[in-house]
Amino acid sequence: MRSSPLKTLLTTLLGWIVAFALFFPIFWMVLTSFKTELGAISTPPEVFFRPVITAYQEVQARSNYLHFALNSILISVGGTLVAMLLSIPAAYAMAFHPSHRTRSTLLWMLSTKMLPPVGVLVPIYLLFRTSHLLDSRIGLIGIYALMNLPIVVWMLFTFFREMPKDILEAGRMDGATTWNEVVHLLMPLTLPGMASTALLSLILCWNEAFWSLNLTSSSAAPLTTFIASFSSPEGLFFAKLSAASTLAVAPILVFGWISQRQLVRGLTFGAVK
Amino acid sequence: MDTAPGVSATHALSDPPGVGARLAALLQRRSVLPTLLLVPVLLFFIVWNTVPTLWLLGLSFYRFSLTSGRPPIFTGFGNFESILQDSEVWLALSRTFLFVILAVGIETVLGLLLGLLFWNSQRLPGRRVALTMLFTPMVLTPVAAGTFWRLIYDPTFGVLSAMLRGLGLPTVNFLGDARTAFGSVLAVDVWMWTPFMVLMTLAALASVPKAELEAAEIDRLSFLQRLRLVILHHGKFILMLGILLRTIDAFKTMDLIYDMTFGGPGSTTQLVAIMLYRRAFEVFSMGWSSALAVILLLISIAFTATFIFVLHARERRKQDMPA
Repeated sequence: MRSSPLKTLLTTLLGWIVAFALFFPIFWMVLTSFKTELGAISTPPEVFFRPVITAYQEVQARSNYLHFALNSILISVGGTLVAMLLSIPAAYAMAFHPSHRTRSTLLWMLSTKMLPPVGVLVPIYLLFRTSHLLDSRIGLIGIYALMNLPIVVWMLFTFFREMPKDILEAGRMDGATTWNEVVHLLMPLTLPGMASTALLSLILCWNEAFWSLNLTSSSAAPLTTFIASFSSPEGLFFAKLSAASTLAVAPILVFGWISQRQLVRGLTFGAVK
Repeated sequence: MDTAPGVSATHALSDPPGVGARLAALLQRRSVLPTLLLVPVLLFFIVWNTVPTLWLLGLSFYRFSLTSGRPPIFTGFGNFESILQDSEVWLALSRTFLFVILAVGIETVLGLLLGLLFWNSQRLPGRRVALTMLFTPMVLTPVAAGTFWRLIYDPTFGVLSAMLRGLGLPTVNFLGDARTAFGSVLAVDVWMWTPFMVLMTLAALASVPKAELEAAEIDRLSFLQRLRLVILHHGKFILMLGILLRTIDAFKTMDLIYDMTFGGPGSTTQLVAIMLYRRAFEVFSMGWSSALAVILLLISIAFTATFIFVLHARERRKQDMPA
């Protein structure tokens, strides 16, 4: 679309202002985490100061960050893998061989996402206790996979359905078996879609707090538990809380930034008809 | 479907006859394979979801306290009756509806506007960096976001109060004041999830054929006309999916509030999910909470079913029309 230079300048400016405004809280959190506890609450707030890492040292001294980070990584990756492995065949079946039950199956899956998790906490808790899954990574992986299954199936279904039917038809004409069809046509063509679905699932797993707070205590606890342990009990230690928050979100943030192109492109690809 | 017999016939011919071949032939029958592929996902759902939900449904007919140690007492619809007569429930429900409507509404409008802004500035310097900054809140962990927003909102030491003071305005106890708490929590939700609607808008825009956008340009359609006739016409499905997903999530907002106000001050930010949590794990009335959860589930299902039905009906109407 062509537009006048002035309009261009204005949109750019506006875009940047909005982007900065939205980013500011995160910027401020990171900034505060490098202050001393006293500097963090000085009025007016310091913008230029000598950065120190005492807040990080204190956080690390109180709880072992790497232990929680490792749990977060293992559980998120595990949950995403399980969800993808279960969803790909299901989405394939529903996208390419739809039956009259497909729509209601999809709806049913989505409806399970609507129940506030606190509603099924007690049954799941008791289920976990009897099967010794409390505070275990395997248990959380199962829960996370289930939590993301509906979205993963829906997204994959959309991506698969957007795939040009003619290509599959042509493949079938040439005598491709279902296996060949999947491996040589479907997989390569929908790879961006699958990648972006997996990315989304990873992010959702990483950020999930309700189940991890209620079903883990220490050995399987991910970073959401880590941040919560700093959040409530004591007063507001600005620098320490900022450092803990930064530590909890940093890995997924960097990961999101790196894969953003893929994430956005994937979603856009799914939209192009 | 109609190619199935042909395919299986060639398959049977090329393979040596036997169990394997017959199995392969069976799998090639288009109706068997899809069903088989669905089985793992369905099993998983039944074990992890249907069983707990049925359990919940059963529990909702009992009076049962987790702490008393007494066996559950069957009360029929007693819990449901007590919920329907509980004015606090109605308050929490209407508060939740207000929250969902405002949050999703604002996010959709802002998302549309920002999406259009960034779509139109496609060849501009630093667009990618600006977009990255814009998308960042969406990726954040809600628990962590709640924590540092509490610091930002702090009436004495928070940066927002400092800014207000700098402008010579009176400071506000954002989360502590009953008049501002709801809006402050809402603002954080909007901050977190507008980026998602921007993303959906961009995806929707990408689905509009370029020729039509150009035609609209040539025809000098006004901004609103272009939005309605071209963009919404093509990108409707994606936008609707975005709105649906956001609505479902907003309906059970918990993490953010859990961390920022835990429903307070008073009960001004007590959305229904928080209320459920408090009743279940502070008062330990499991039967009552289960009944409330069942009601919530029914509301959500009704909403989604209506939503999808409308979407489906429109889609069908579009298909009926000649291209």
